[in-house]
Amino acid sequence: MDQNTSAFRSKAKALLSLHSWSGIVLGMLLYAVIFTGTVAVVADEIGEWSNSNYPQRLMLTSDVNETVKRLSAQTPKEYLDEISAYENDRQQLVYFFHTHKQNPSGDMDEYGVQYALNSQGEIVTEKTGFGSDIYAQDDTYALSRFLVSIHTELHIPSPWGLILTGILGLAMLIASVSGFMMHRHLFIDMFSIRKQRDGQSLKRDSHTVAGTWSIPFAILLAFTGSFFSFSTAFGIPAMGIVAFGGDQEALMYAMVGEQQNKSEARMASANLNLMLQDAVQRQSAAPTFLSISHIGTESASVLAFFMPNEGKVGYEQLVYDGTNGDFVEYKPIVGSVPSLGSSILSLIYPIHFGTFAGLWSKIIWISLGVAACYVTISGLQLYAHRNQKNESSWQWYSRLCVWGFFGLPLCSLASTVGFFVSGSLGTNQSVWTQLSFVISAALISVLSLSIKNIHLLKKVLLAGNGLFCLILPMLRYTTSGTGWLQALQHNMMAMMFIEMTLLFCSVWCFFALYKSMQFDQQNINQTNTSFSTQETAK
Amino acid sequence: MGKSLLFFFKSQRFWLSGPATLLVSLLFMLAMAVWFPPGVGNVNNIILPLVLLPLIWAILFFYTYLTTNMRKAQWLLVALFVVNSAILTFKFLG
Repeated sequence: MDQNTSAFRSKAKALLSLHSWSGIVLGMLLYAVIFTGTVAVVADEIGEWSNSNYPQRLMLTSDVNETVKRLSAQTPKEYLDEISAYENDRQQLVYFFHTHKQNPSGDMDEYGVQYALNSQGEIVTEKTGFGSDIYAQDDTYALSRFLVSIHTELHIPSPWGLILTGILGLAMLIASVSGFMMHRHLFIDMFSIRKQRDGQSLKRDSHTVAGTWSIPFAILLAFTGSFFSFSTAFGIPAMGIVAFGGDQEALMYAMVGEQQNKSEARMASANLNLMLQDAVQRQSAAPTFLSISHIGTESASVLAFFMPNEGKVGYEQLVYDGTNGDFVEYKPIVGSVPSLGSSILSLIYPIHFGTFAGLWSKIIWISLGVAACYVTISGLQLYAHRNQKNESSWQWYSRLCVWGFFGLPLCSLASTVGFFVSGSLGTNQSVWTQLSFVISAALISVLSLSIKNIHLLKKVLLAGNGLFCLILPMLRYTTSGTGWLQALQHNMMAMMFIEMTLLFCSVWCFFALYKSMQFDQQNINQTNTSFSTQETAK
Repeated sequence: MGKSLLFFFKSQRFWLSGPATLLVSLLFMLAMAVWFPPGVGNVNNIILPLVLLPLIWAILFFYTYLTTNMRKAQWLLVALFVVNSAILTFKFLG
């Protein structure tokens, strides 16, 4: 063996050790982040589904100009700095009249009055407070917000949750890059499931194949995910200290792209409906939200935000002069003029969220997310199996794997049940969505400790997942009364997509359960046959 | 497990690839806000270092983890630490 071969082998060994340890130490948390991230890809669709929402494009059908005028007259003047408007998932148009000030946590926040109006323009709810608090207590988004929050912060207080998910992103980066560097035959490994293999050898092949296919996706997601976590947790304020000498307001204005000193001289504003019509004509779509700044002053401006349009990758922001209604510019995502930074950011967002080609890109992102989940699960199971063979004390690790891998989806489904049941009982959905998750997590933990046979535990949890996936569409139907026919008539794609996905998952769970029982039966038959052969030989 | 964990903490490579690499990457990111051209939008020196942080960390991590020449890796990290600290010191005190 020459020196080069020896050096290569020692590097390969070091990479394998790195690959294993990065997975073992943070594998379970990484699985939680990847699983909830896969769910978060369709967070908007889950929001629509959980409210059986039929988007009415209220911003186009209602008189926004007249409503803003009417609400401005009854709102304290200090909250007229900025007005954001969007259609929520309960067929209401939400207007938030606000100014900016520090919240009790010391962060810059929006503060003002939020009105939710129905399609007839009547005020349904009116809330005063910080934007972050109002959003955190909004039952409309209770389910999607809860699931997304597991992904972004694991429900750990800020900034520690964000720092942890950032570290998990780096761990994923290590595992994927080391996995990539270990492969000497990358293209062969993409297809190399050996037919004659079974048990752990088959699992090892499947781990390699799924891992190889999802390597580019995992690297991209780990890279962009750790960027989001670190920049939100400490990166942006830290850069503000260096670049702007700690002037957080100057940093905010540089990022948002607004002038710091605006003229507050009174001046009539142009018709908002005309600006909206122009924006819709330019983008051939309805805006996701509107931001109206300094209305009734010389510096009034209107920004219309659009999700990626057909054939485009990034978000679009159209800015209008609020005094005369003229179109001003396509505003970059950060800063006041197009720059390298804004171009990179406008690519990072759709790459991480999978929003660049509508539902199709989301389906691809979900599939790759499922593959990444499988890679994490099979990697940890392989490690547990290897150690279990040598030491019986490692059985707890296999149990932990079953508890985490099957328990997390079951808890998420249970939180969805909590959302629907609390909604139909008229109680606080935000609280009960979280409580249902905690209660089911406690029950699953008790079950995991009390069922001694790991295979039986796995089957029970699998059956639970299948059952919950099956009853959720029925539960949604009984609580909302919106059926599939109505959904198809109104082209409620998001709702149908989630419903079909749940039914598919249910079928998959029961099929896996059936296969597992069939496998057990085969094993029993084989054992019986070999036992009777031995008896006959005696 | 206990012994291997102790060995882990005694390893020079662990300290170099772990805390030292993280510290140098963070310093590199912060110093970039000083020397990287802000561009016409005045945001490039904020966004680019933030985006590049995971990349800088990954390069330094894999280099220090895989290198056979530990002394060279050590000196590289020391050099990066000194240069970036000097840039930041100059920015705040200069």
